[in-house]
Amino acid sequence: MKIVGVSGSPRKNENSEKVLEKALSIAKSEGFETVAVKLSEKKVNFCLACEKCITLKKCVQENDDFNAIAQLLEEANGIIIVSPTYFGCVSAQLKALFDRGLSIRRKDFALKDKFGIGIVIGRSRNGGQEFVMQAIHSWMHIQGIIPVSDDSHFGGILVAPIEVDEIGLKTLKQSVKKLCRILKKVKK
Amino acid sequence: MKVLAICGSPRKGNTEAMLRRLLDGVKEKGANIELVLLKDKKIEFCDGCLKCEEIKSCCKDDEMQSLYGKLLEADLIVFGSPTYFDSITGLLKNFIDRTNPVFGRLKGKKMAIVCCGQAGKESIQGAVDFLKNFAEIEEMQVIGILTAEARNPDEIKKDEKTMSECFGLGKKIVE
Repeated sequence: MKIVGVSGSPRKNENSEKVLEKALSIAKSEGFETVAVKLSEKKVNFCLACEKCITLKKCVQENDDFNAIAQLLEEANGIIIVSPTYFGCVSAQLKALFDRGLSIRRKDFALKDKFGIGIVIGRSRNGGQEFVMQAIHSWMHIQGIIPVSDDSHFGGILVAPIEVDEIGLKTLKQSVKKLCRILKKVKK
Repeated sequence: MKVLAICGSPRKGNTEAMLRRLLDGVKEKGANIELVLLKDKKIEFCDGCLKCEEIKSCCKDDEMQSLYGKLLEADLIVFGSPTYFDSITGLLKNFIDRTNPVFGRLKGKKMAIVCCGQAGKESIQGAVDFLKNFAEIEEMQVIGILTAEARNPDEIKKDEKTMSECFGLGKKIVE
């Protein structure tokens, strides 16, 4: 089974990407095939609201990486979304990807019944991470993805620098483990 | 009084129509107005380099540069957005991410919020809530909120009640 993780930070090798690597390494150790999508390395334009996806069942914009990322998400059993906290929401890079995801929704809800988790990093302990989590969960619900948590709250919530955030790392680990456990249970 | 309206829609649709009608009301009261359509601006993504925290400006040489001055000069900023996935559009989110160089300098300004959407009141509220949070982060004062349900680009113009509310809100926020 495959878990695809998307990191929404523009910063290479910083907190969000480190968190993504940690999350995917846990999934790997649980026996999953993993794929990392780092938006710092990708180009995803904004949705043009052209509505062509209603008939095309994919996005009409072919000059960026979106349709390839959509393909990876469609192939996944589990989806991990990692975002930094920018003004109390996901980064604009990730919001661009979310908005373009309308084309996946219009492909007969192609992400329906997949399981997902959110992992959010902020620079302040009280930086608004849970608002970002809500944006991620909203996107998942609207896509028909089933969001799961860390077994007690809303998923992975960390404060930078993540290496020394023991509590945050625990929420990350528990969230990924739960995602793996659910996927294994569903497969049975 | 200077009123700056920022339209976060990628198309010429309901959000723009609502903002234009609101600005008609503002104009009637004699205030200066400017409408910025983000769909027509080339604004790159924030790189998260955070150099702006030291130099108080952005290293990126794009059309955002001309908007920093407008933000700082405005007494009232009106944000308009359609609702995408229960929040504002990526286009507007990018504009807001790029305001980081003027973080702290919007304090005390007034804000009005105009959002439309097609998935019901609760969904639209998600976009409104984001902008209210942004106002709180910046210590701006939200003095007016207007929401409407619409889907097709020309729909709202035919909605006389909403158009009249937009005009009325425009007059009210500059009183």
